[in-house]
This record gives sequence, structure tokens and C-alpha cells, in this order.
Amino acid sequence: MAGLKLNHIYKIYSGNVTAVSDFCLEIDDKEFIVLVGPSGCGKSTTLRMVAGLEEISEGELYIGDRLVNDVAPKDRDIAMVFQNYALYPHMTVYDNMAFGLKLRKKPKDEIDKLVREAAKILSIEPYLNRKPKALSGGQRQRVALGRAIVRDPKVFLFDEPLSNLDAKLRVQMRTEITKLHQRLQTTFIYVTHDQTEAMTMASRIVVMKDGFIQQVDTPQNLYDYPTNLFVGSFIGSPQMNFFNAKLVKKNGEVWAEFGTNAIKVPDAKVRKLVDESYIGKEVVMGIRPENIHDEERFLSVADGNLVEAKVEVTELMGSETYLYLQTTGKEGNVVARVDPRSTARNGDTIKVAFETSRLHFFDKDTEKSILNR
Amino acid sequence: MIPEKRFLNQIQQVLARLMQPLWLLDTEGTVLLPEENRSKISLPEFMEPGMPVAFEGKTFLMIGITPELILCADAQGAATHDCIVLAGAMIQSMGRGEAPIQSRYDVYRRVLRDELTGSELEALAHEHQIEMNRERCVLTFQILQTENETAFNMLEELVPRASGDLLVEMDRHTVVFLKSMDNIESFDELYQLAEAIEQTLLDEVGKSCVIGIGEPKKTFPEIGESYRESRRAVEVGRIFLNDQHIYIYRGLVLERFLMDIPREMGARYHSILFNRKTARLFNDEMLHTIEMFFAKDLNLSDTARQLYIHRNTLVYRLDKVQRQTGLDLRKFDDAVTFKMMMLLGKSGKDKPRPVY
Repeated sequence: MAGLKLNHIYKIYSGNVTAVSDFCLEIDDKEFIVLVGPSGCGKSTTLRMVAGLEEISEGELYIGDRLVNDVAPKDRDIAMVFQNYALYPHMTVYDNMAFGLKLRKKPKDEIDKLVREAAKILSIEPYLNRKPKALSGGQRQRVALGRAIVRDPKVFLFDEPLSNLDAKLRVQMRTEITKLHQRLQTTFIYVTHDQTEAMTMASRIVVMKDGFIQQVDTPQNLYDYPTNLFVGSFIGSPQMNFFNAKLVKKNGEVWAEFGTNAIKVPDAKVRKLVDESYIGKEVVMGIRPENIHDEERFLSVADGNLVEAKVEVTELMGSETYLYLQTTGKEGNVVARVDPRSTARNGDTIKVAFETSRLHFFDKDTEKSILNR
Repeated sequence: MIPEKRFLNQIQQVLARLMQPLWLLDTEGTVLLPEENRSKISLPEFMEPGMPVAFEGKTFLMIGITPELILCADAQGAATHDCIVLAGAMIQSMGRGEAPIQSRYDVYRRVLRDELTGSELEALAHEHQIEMNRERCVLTFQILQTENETAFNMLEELVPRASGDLLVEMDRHTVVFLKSMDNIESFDELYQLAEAIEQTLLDEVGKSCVIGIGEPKKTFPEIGESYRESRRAVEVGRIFLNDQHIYIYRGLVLERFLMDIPREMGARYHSILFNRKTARLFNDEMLHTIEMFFAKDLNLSDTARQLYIHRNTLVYRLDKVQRQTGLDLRKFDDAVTFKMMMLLGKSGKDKPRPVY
């Protein structure tokens, strides 16, 4: 078990292509860190640098107190789990899990003990004598995890390990990996492009884009206080709605105007907007789908927060309904996540209430949050 | 390792007859011939025997003999390319004529390289107790960064072998796993095996490799063909599927076909779509979008999700392509046309000319 310290890490490929820039992060021992971001953001490259599979162009990497920049991958005491659960097809589950240990010349009885312990943790004891082709996708992925566990590493690295599984199995394995982390009490670094995976599993999330860290925080803080437009849009599904709004002051109150709509900005958020002289300027206003309501109890107490919109599509999801709305001042749809008993139908023109205490504002040029906490 | 003086003299005689001046280097880049020039030349990161590489204004060719030798010309271009390839082939054949067959591995190596045929092959197979009629398939492993070790040393322990399987070192970077098909139920198992070895190599040695898989062959003399196919798979795969590490010969039919189209013709067709007028349209972002759209089987929602863009943004981009090129990539036929034109661009870039 060990913490990690990534100190101003860069990865620069030939031709001056920078994949990772100034990556600074301290990971505590036993922490579950998830690196998340769209394709090409540098998350896998970062993980591969930690594993030693990519050379670090600049910066320092410590595992525990040991500087490991020049330490060979096999000597870093890490184990990696990939998305393709590659198993030797002609070997049994037991032999697949034992293979790495045999290569390391571990005594036979120790190998047996380690394999059986890992099999117990992963609930695959009944399958130890089976060959991979007799296993389901989820069971195979567990065997791949088993291959990593038997090595008893200081740090586990996961590179999109669930992306080859179907949606149902992915949800199941998500829980399994979380339980595994609790049980093993080891540092986990997990890479995914799936923000739901990140939100459900991580103790802290690192959001990356174009090789740069955008924000590092707990899932809840990331969701509630995105530091910039990108994080706001990346975290959350359906994603946050954005409006190009102009802030205007009327009778001592600040309003965000877009199209023919105007939303009153609550006093608690006004001060910073005034102090930083955003009044009279265009900003990007964001609101999450669950903070837009069509229920009477919200509409009846509305105070400068109503928007008229046409329902283009309704999607009943069972526990909730998504309304795809069209309103002035917004290109594309506004998505609202409402109660499944909503009476809104396609083609209706309805009023929705914005929960103004949950509004986000971003600078239009820098895209940074104006009201972050 | 420096070759014997007698062999160096023979090479010197070959080089002296050429119009194009060529140098002979060792694997460190030290000039062995001409002898009066003992300077050191920086080498390209990776060279494969028989495949010329253009690097820093020079052309290099690794000769497939032991000890490994490199030819270098201080020029580039088609004439230099042809000259260095011919000289390399001549030196290789002289070198191999010198080397005696000492073990069954030498027999395998020579058969893989198609250097033994007919009665000589049969006699050697008999002498070394090699089964003539066993079905085998070649998996070629290439490890680029070997540092002080050879690819063979890295793989020797971690490639599990059953009866009839054999690991043969071809050169410093290349190892052939000759896999008996006795207990292989489907071709897919070979792919799984390759995947497992690739991952074990990463886990245990921390090295990545590329693997080419040829076609299974029923008899011993045919394994040379399987080896050629596996190498061709790597060569083609590296160009078209450079994000992957395992290339299957039978899965690269379209790519092989495109590689066989003459460079000039390929470039002509490629430029129908990709030219100065469309350069702004087909920027990196657009090409990435289109590649992902194809990878997701023309599914708009999946592509948008994967690219983390709004579905409408994707539709807008595809509409833009349609407006400027007339191809609606949501339609299968248009998508195929576009894909072929796009791949022709890749096949024209750094297209290596096979010399075997």
C-alpha cells in the first residue's frame, strides 16, 4: 500500500506533441482516484506513465517515498487491469491466475494460497478448474482482476476495465470493484471516459481535457461546484443546460436575460457578479436538468424564475421523465428531468420553473466559473 | 559484434562496384566500411531486416544476418532505395551461405525465411526429426524497445508452449511463435493467446509488442508463407490500425488491397476528396469525428456519446461534409466510398516496399 505523488508531470511526444501538461496530484494511500475525460485528454497516457509503460518527459513520480521515474515497470510494485480481459485460452482459471507468480518463481504452496485467497475475494472459487471459454464476460473480467490481486501490489491501475462489458454487467462490476477496493484497502487509480463510473466509484475525481487537469475534487463537489464550463458539461447526465445570457440590473435586482426570457438571479449570487462587474455583460448561465421543474408546487411559488417552452419530445424513463424543450434564446433543446407523473405531452407549450439557487454562471471568454462556492 | 574480416572484404568488394556510395555500420551506428571512416552515425529507432528506412536525410537498411549489419546511404529517393535493397539482398545471401546449419532452430529459421526448399528441406527435416505434416500457424512478435535484452529473452519464459510449439528467434527484435494447431479449436483462440501473451509481457516485463498472425498451414514447408503473412499483417496493420497491437492477416483484406494499389493511383483517388479545397473541412477534429462515426457503425447517438459532443453537433458536422463533398456519411454506400478514399491516404504515407 502506498500513496503517489505526481509532480509537474509532462508527456511530450516527438514532433512536440504534448499529451499531458503539468500534471500535479497527490494521491493518498488507499484512495480510489478516477481519471476521467473525453478521448485524447491524456488520462490513459498518465496512467501508463505511472505504470512505467510510457517514459515521463518531465516531472517526478513518487510511489510512496520512492522516486520511480527510472524504475522498470516490473519493479514498481503495481498491477494493471486492462479492458480486454486477456486470458490464456488453454489454461484453467487457476493456472491463469498462477501464471505470473510462476514466472516470478514463487514457491508452489505460496502460489496456491495466493490464488485461492484471490478467488475467494472475487467469488470465483467454483470456477478455478474451468477454462476461460466456459466463463461469462463478467467472470472473465474477475479472473483478470484475480491475476492482478495475487501480485499483492502497492497500487492497482485500471485502464477502462469495464468498457468491453455490456451495460448491465458494467453496473454490476462497478459495484464489485468498489467492494474490492474496500476489502483490499489499497490505492486504486482508475481511468474511464464514463462519468457515471467516475461518479459512482471514486473518492476523488480528476477531470482532464487536452492534457490538462481541469478539476480535482470529490464527486459531489465536482457536480455541485464545477470550476469551469467543461467540467459543468462533462459531469452529469443528461448534461447541464447552458444559455448565453445577459446580466442586467432592474430596480436593484439582477436578471439574466436570454431570448424573451428573464430569470431573477438570487441575492446570494448577485454580489460576486456585481463585484466583478459582470452586469451589462454576456455570461454563460448553466442549470442542471433536475433543477428545472414543471410541477405545480414549484410553479405556484415562482418568483421571476419562469420560462415558457415548447415540449418537443418526452422520454419516460420509469423513475423520471426527460422533457426536451425549446425556448427562445437557446439553440438546441433544454433538457428537464421531471417527475414521471408529469402531464406534459409532445407539442404542448408549458411553463417551467428554474431553481435559481442552483444556477451556475461562467465567464464567456475564460469559461471559468464565476460563482464557484 | 564485428563480422569476420574475410566476410567484410567480400562486402567491400560488393560496395566498391556500386555507383551509389554505401556505408556498412554495426548496430551501434559505427561505420565498419569504408574502414578509413570510423565515425558514428545516429540510427533510426526501429529497423526491420530488409525494410529500408529514411531517417535524417539518409537511407538505412538492416541486413537480416547474424551479426546484424546495417547499410547506410547518405541520400534518399527511389534510386537510393533500390540500390540499398539490392546490395542488402546480395550481402544477406552471401552471409547466409556462410552460416552452417547447426540446430533444428536453424532449420526452422531458414524455412521461415524461405531459404530451404525441396529435397534439401526434406533431408534436414528428417535429420532434425521435424514433423512434415503437422498443422502450424506463425505468430510473429516484434518488440521495438529491447535495450540490452533481446525480444527472444523477454518472451522465452512467458510464452507457454504445448507439444509441437516452438519459439524461434529471427533477429534481435523479432521472434516467431510457431504454434501447433493440434489443440486449437478455433482461430479465435490464437487471437486470445496473442492477447494474453501481450498482456503478460506488459505485466511482467513492462514492454509492449506488436503481434502478426498468419494463416495456419498444413505442412512444414508452408510455414514460410505463414511467416510472410504474419509480417505483412504487422506491416499493413501498423499503417492502418496503429492504435492496435495484434494484427491478423485474414482480417486485413481491405487494407492489404489498398496497400497493393500503386502509390500514384491511390494518391490520385485520395485527392478527389482530400485536396486544398477541403483541407479546412477535414481538420483533425472532423477526421476524428468521422473515424469514430465509422467505428460506431454509423450510429449517431453512440458516436456523440463517445466523442462527448451533442448529437446535433455531430449531425451538423456530417451535414457540412455532405454539403461540401456530396457524400452523406449516414448512408452505407457513401460511407464506404469515404472510408476507401480516406484509407488510400494512409496507404500512400510511408508505404514500405516489401523486399521479400
